[in-house]
Parts: sequence; structure tokens; C-alpha cells
Amino acid sequence: MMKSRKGRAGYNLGTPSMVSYCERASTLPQGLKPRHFLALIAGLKACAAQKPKCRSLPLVGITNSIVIGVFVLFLLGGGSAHAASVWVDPGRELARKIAEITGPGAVAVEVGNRSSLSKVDVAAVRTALEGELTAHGVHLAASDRASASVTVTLSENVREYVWVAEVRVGKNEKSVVMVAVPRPEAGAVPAVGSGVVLRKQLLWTQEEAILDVAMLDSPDKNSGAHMAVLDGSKVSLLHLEKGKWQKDQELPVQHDRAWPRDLRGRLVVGKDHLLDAYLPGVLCSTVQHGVMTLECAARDEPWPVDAAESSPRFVLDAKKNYFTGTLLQRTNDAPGARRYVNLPEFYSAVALPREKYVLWIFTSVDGSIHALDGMTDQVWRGVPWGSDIAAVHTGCGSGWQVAASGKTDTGNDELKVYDVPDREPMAMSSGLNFPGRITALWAGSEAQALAVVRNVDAGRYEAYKVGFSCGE
Amino acid sequence: MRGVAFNGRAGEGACPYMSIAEDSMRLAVRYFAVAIFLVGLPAWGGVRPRYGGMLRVAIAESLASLDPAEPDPVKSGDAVARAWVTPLLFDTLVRVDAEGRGHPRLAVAWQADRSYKRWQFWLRPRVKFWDGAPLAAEAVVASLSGRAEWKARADGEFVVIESEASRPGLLAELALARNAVMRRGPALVGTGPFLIKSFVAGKSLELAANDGSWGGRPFVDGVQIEFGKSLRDQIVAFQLGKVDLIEVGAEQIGKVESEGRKAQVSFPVELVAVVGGAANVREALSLAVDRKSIQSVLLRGGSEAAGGVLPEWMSGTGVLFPVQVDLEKGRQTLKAGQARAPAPTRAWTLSCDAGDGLARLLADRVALNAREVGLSVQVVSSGTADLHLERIPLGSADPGVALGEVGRAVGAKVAVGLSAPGEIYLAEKKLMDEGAVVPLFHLPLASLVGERVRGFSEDKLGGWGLEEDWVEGP
Repeated sequence: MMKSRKGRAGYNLGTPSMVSYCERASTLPQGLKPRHFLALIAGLKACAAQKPKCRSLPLVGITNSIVIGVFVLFLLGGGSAHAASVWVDPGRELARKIAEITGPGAVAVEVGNRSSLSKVDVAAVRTALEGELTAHGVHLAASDRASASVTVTLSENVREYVWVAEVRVGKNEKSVVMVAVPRPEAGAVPAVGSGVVLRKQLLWTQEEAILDVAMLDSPDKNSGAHMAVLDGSKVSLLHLEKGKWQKDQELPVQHDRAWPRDLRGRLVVGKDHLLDAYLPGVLCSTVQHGVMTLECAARDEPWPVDAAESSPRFVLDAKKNYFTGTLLQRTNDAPGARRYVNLPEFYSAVALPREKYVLWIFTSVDGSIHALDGMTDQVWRGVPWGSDIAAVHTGCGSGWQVAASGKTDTGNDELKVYDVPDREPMAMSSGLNFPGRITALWAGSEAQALAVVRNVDAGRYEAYKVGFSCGE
Repeated sequence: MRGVAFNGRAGEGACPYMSIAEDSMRLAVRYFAVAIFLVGLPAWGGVRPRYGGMLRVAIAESLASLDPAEPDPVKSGDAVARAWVTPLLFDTLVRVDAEGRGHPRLAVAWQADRSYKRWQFWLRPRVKFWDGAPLAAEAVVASLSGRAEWKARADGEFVVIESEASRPGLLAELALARNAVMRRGPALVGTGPFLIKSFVAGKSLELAANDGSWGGRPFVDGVQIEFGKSLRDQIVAFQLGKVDLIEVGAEQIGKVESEGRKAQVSFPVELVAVVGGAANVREALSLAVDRKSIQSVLLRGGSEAAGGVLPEWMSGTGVLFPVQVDLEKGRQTLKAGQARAPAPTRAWTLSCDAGDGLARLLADRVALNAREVGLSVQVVSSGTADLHLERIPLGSADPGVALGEVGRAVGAKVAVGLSAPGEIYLAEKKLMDEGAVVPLFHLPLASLVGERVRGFSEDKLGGWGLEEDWVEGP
């Protein structure tokens, strides 16, 4: 039995002074953080409290109501207010360091930008810098009338902005001071398809590979939505509170063997228990004995790949990343009767209900696509699909479509919807771009799917709920 | 605290109280954009990896030993080959990426005390050596012991590393290839994704997939590596389809890309510098060498003219180390030195690695430029020389650790525990003075990948993750 790692979840416990660790999303607009507000408020309060020292600041003399107004603008993402607030504190810190060297008097200040900061940001930095210098008794002057010269360079490395000031007082040797400034978060990219319209909503991000996410029904309708997230070491249970997911519990996945490198997993909501988690060679189920636990057993249990309960199940090779092709299918011969069918090894499969039959489509390991209708096995080659597909019911066209992963010109993956009206797939949407490679794609309820993306830039996995609807 | 990341973050926004490392997680800036542009793009979007097949690799350097610590790779001249080969065989406790974030390898969790003098590591469960022996704290301690920098000891299931000096950058130190964990004995035994099938020192290495790898079996069945193949021979073998993965010299990147091939190019991770000589000679040389001109002619694609030891992407303080040519100032510097300590005018000898074509080209250009300020420099390929043109791998994305690696290479001591940009800048200046270093260029590592290879993505530091690759066909 694997020991619970509760209390040391995550690999960084930090220093004793920073053990507390935050998993909650902020309620701020993307890219903004509370400290930005705090910085702004602190700056404004400082100004209000020290008016004489802040004469040159652009916000000098503002009343509380104006402060609130600026705050609101800031909340709404007003560009200049945002820029100003983010750079106020570091700009002041650098100014203080400069003033310590120059002392009061006439100083020539030159600001250059070697970083990716925009002109608006550079202007905001300059304003903060000059304001604080003035507050320290520095008079900005032309170089021929100044007793000291300061060259500020806004530079950067991969981790942070680095603002460097080279200060020369009279004919003394040049002094160098600098501050490091954390980068603000990048904004989100909107995503909308066409024809069939695809919309993605970020559900969860974490560093460990997300394998599947299941939305859970709550018996108490007032308690809000619940969600389970599966990765290679645990099932995380979360609930939605004030629009943000809060983690309730982590249930460790117990297993003895090393996982395959391209790990896959599936979460299925149980009938008489909360969840089943399918992993390579391991089946886990939640058990409620006072507290909820996850009991795992080494079993090559066939996996469901479809939301429909009656759908066939497939056996995943416990050491690899594909299904063996052995299909366990219920038959109408007798109650509970099943039969094995042999198919090519495949990565994913979808079932498209037709009037008189079900069309099964498989993405096989050799790169071909197989379409089986119970009578024939058509092999499609040259179809621009990746390995992962999911069935979605949009109601457009023939009703059920295939959502397939694929690559884009940027190298990232996209999701596109294809209709299969007469055996041949036809694109029904433009591609929905993701910020990395799609590592998992599972069908959800009828017009939804779950896509997991490895965002190399962020070094994290991101789970998206993808919605499909008929467009124009 | 830099270099440490969190493991959980809710979606739809950012955690309000994240560390600086977390803040900087989103690069979205030119370096990454440049890297993506230069590196090219993965060619297997949407497709899952397949199992089977062999990867064939050629490397210019000759590897005499697979032990990443012996002899000292900084001094043995095979640091690049070691940096590529070691992760295939051996794991470190942690990995540190280009942004300074630590990631778990053999350790899944870690904690430092307030002084950063005592670190505790939780080991990953169920990790086994190639021979099936479980990885225990004692084995890790045995592997990491014998270092002057720290003392490692087992504390139950934990590994504790203590040092007299504060080491906020310990994760980056532990991520160096020479600190990989292994059992030494009649044969080296590791925990890495591949195990050694055969090794002919200096010539070839054959690896087989480790079925019991904690990260999962690699997708390919094995890797065949040929050492000591010249860059030219590598290109020929690549064009004939005999190898899947080759090095591309910094001087070849432009040509390769002009031929329509996409080279995988890292951030600049190697320092080219002249080492040695008196202070006034170094300063005059630095003012004389037309780095930008040499770069534009010889080093297209990812290289940078260097005035400092650390590249701009790592330090952000490149502005403080200008690379402009100033011949007049160079001449004055020499004259002033001559006035202070009169000596007969002489020719300075500059050595470089005889087998390194690029080093020879650069040395010749340096000698040519030096004449402009009145320095007579003669390039020699062997024997004792006054000045040496060195190619020094920076080894780490952590600026403090990278400075330490350069210090080891040039025999200068660098303080540990540096992290703030101001501290790094001062240490960099000191290293240039005490190590007698005249930085000239920063070079990237570059590779060319065959069409049948899928999933290859050289990281920003030039590392290969061959265990994640797979091949089309046999």
C-alpha cells in the first residue's frame, strides 16, 4: 500500500517560511494579480500621505473618489492604469537606489529599452522613475546642466525584467545599480471555430500530466459543481466556489509498476460509487467508508471509450500507449453475454450512431483510420487526423461528428470537427487552436469533450472543456 | 524564491501569491519566440508516439568515459557529449529548466531551511537501478558524496544535503550532469531510460531501452551513438540517411537553414573566450575584436557577440558589457600598460584546439583584429601559449551556477549562493578579472534531426530527450 503523501503534495515544499501554498485562482482579470492592486493602492496611499514628496507623480493630489475611479478602471483592464501600476514599485526602488548615489541636485536621466516592454510600459516606468527621483530632491536637467548623468536600460532575461542604471557623478567612476522585476502573466487567447463552433474553457492546470477530468453531479443542487481530475499519482476532487475550482481532497493512486511513458487514463462516474479510474493495468474505484478513499487493483480491465454505457470496452496495453484491438462487446445473444472482436491496435475510437447501425472509427497505430460498420472495414489514408478523436453530438449535419486532433502551422495542435455523411470525413469547422500538443481527448456529454494540452511554454498541462454547437 | 515552482494551480486565472519563478513562467518574449523560430517545430502534432526502432546519432566529441564526473568534464573537453549522453543513462535528483524552475527527477519533493544551508529531498518511490535494485537514500548519498561543496547523508527515506555556505542555487547544482546518481563499481549502474549495451571508449555507444525506467520505457528500442565524427562527416552521413540525429556547428546553422532544413537551436549556452594575458592586453584585445562583424560572417543563427561571461537571456545585464570596437581606446590602454610596466614589445601566442575548425577560424580573426591596436598575436595549435581561445559550456541556466562552471574551467573561484542580478553582475566582473577572461561570443547548441524521427524537441538549453522520441519505419 502506497503511503499517502498528504501534506507534501507537490514537489516543492518551499522553505519553512513559504510552506503555505496557494492553489486558488484569483478572481482578477487574466494577467492581473492582487499584488498589482496592492502596489497601486500602496503607491496611491503613499502619495496621498506624502503629497509634498509626490508632486511630480501623475496621480498627485487625487482624492479618494478618484483613487476608486482609477481602481475601477484598473479592474476593467485599462491599459495605461495597468501598466502604471505594475511598474510603480520597481520604478521607485530603482529611483531610490539612483538617488542614494546622486543625492539631491540636477541629474540628466536617459531611459532606453532593450526588453520586450511596450512603449506604453516604458513610458509608465519612466514616469514612476522620474516621480520618485523628484521626490528625493533630484531635479531632472539636460546633460550639459546636470551634475550627474544616469542611463537607465530596461533589459530582461528569461526569468524577469532587469532594469539597470549606470550612474556617473561628475568625473567619478561609473556606478551600477539594478532591480529585478517579475514578469506579469500573459493573457488568454480567445478561441472560436466556424461552421460547427468550438469553444474551449480552461478547467484546470497543473504540472503533472492530466489524464482525464470528470464533471460530477452533486446530490445537493445548492452545493455547486464538482469535478475530478486524474493524473498518474492521484485523483483530485474539487468543487466550484465563486467561479473558481477549490480542491477538496486528493486520493492517491496506488500502483506497483512504473507507468508507460505516454501515460493514459480514464475517469468514469460510477453508478453506486463516485468514480472508477482506469489506468494501464490498474483499475481504481472510490470507496466511501466515512472518508472517501481510492482502492486500486492490478487488473487489465477493458476501458470504456465512449460515454454510452452499452458501448464496447477496449483493453489498453498496460506497458504501452495504445489499445490492443481486442474488443469486448455485449451481444444480444443472452443477458450479459459478451464477445471478443479483434481489431488493429489503435489509439482511440469513436462510435457514430446511424439510423440502422453504428459506425465505428479507429485511429490505428500504423497511422491509418479504420471505419467499421459491422459489415466492412474501410481504411482511410491521408486523413489529416492525429491519434486522438472523440464523438460529439452537435445536431448539425448528420447529427454526430468526430472531433479530431491535428497539427497546425505553428506546431501546436488543434481540434477540428468532421462530419462523416457518407463514409468520407468532411471538415465542418475551422481548427480550435491549443497552446501545445493535445495529450488526451475524451468524449464528454453529447456536445462536449475534454482536451488536455501540454503547454510547453508554461511547463504545465491544461485541461479544457470543449463545447460544440451549430454555427452559421 | 527563484528556481522553485509550485505543483498546483487552479485554472481560469493565476494564483495570487506566487513566487517570482511562477511569475516568470510565461515567457512570451523574444527569447522564446526566437527559439521557436530558430528551433523549428515538432512535426508530429496530434499523433501519439509509437514504439520500436533504433535511433542513430553522431557526435563530434569523443567520450572516453561514461562516468559524468570522472574525469572532470569541464577540463576533459567532452562536456557537450557528456551533457547529451549522461541523461540517457543516469538521472539527477532534479532538473532545472531555462527559466530556473526546478522539476522533479529522482526527488519528488524538497525543502530548504531559511539559510539554504540544509536541504532535504524526498525520493521518488518505485525507482530501480538497471539491475533491479531499488533506489534508496544510501545509494544517492554514496553517489553524491566526495564533493567539497557539500555533505550528503541519508536520514531515513530522505536525502539531506548540508553545506557551510548558503546555497539557494543547490537545485541547479544538483541538476548538473556530473551530479547524476549512479552506482559505481566494476560497471556503472544507473536508473536512466536507457541502459548500456556496449561501449567502445571514444568510438561508439549502444544503448537499449530500459523497460523498468521510472518514467516509462522509451519509445525506441535503442540508440546507437558514434563519437568523434567530424561535423562534415556527420552532414554527409545524415544526407545519406545513415544517421538520424547529428550536431550542427554554430558556423553551420545559417548554411543548413538556407538549404531548407530546420536546425534545432538552443539558447546560447557556450562561451567562446580568450583566456590569459595581462589586464591591459585583455582590455586592448576586447576593444579590438570586431565581434559583430565576425558573428555576421562566421556565426549566423543563434550566436551572440559577448562582452560578458553570461549571455543576455541568462543575466539581462549585457548592456553593462559593451562589445563595440574602440581601436583608439585599445591603443591607449596598451600604451598606458606599457608606461606602467615597461617591457620589450613581443608577439603573443594564442592557442586553440587543433581539431576544432571553428576555434581556429575565430582565433585567426582575433589575431587579425588585435593588430589594429598594435598587438601582435600569433595563433598556434599546440604547445604553451600566452593566450588560449576556449569554448566553455555554461552548464546551467542558473547564472550563479553557470559562473561557477566557467570559474572551474579557468581556474578562478566564484562565490556560491549568488542570485540577485546585482550580485551576479559583480561576480561576473570579478571572474573576468581574476580568471583573465575576454568573452567573445555565446554559441548555441544545434542539431539536425532526420525525417523519420518524431517527437524530437531540443530544449532551450540544448538537451536531448531521446527517450521521448520515436521513429517511423524500422
